[in-house]
Amino acid sequence: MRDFCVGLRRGLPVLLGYFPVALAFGMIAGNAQVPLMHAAGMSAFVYAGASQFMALNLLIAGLPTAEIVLATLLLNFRHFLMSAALSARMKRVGKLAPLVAFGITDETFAVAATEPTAPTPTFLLGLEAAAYVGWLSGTALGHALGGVLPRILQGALGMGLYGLFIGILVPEVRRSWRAAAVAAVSAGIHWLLRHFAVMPPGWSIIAAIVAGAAFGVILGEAKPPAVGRGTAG
Amino acid sequence: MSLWPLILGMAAVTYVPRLLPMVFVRGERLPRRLRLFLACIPCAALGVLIVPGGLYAVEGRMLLCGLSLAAAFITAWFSRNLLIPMAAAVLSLLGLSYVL
Repeated sequence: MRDFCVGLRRGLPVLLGYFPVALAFGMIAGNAQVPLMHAAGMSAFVYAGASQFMALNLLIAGLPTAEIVLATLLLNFRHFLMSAALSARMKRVGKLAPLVAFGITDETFAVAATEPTAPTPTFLLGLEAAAYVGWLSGTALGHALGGVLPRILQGALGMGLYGLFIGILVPEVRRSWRAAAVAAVSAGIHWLLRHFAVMPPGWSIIAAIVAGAAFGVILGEAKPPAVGRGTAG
Repeated sequence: MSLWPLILGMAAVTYVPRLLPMVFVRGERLPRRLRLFLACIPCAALGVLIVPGGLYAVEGRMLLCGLSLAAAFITAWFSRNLLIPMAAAVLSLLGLSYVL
């Protein structure tokens, strides 16, 4: 229970970052004539921000369901890598695994994976619960309010999550030059892949993460860079 | 038209990749190099999540977004509280949007 509460507290920045982005999602869904139950259902069951925005765009463009589902698979497959990285760091996930796995997002992963000690399943549940509340409540409220956020305001509120990622990355970068090199290389590769539109966005993300982490393996045979310390076993 | 087939399809293809490693990957059983690879994923993922998405957060305003990311970076250097760089990113973008 203590772990759960610590997780909740760690999840507060994620909750605050999610809320306005989900608010925008709810508004856009409402404007696209998606009923409240469907918008909230998407946030509740899919629970993956970028893919939800993409799905709305593709729906508006009139794409068939199967194609949207396939695009979602590609875009969200990065969570496979994140789930594997998190799982490798934990001693035992046990019966909570199905629930813990559901709550893995870019943001909850980033917070959990950079905790100084290996996270426990109950800690993760607390962290994920806070994030989930932010995402769901934002969606519902945005849909209820309706309207449109000015472009700059929506961009600024979305910027909060980039501030969150940077806030998580900076201490890692300060601690280890290898962590900085890994982040810089994967960021650079991702930028190139996206700029030249070499492959679909989902593949670009996965390729850049894999390339960056492989670079980390080359760099850091002696000791694991960054958050590797504390890794069990 | 009901969106439930779409929602449930999206939910399934999102959940399964999240679930499988959580059930089957156990760190102590993995070879050392693979463990090291997995330990590098958080930093690699953070780099990928920030660049270039952060620069495109407001379409066509890359300089504005870049300055806002820089504000988050600088404040994060001096504070371990995640809310500080988050606020810096949001407020600097809003403030600078009047100037740039």
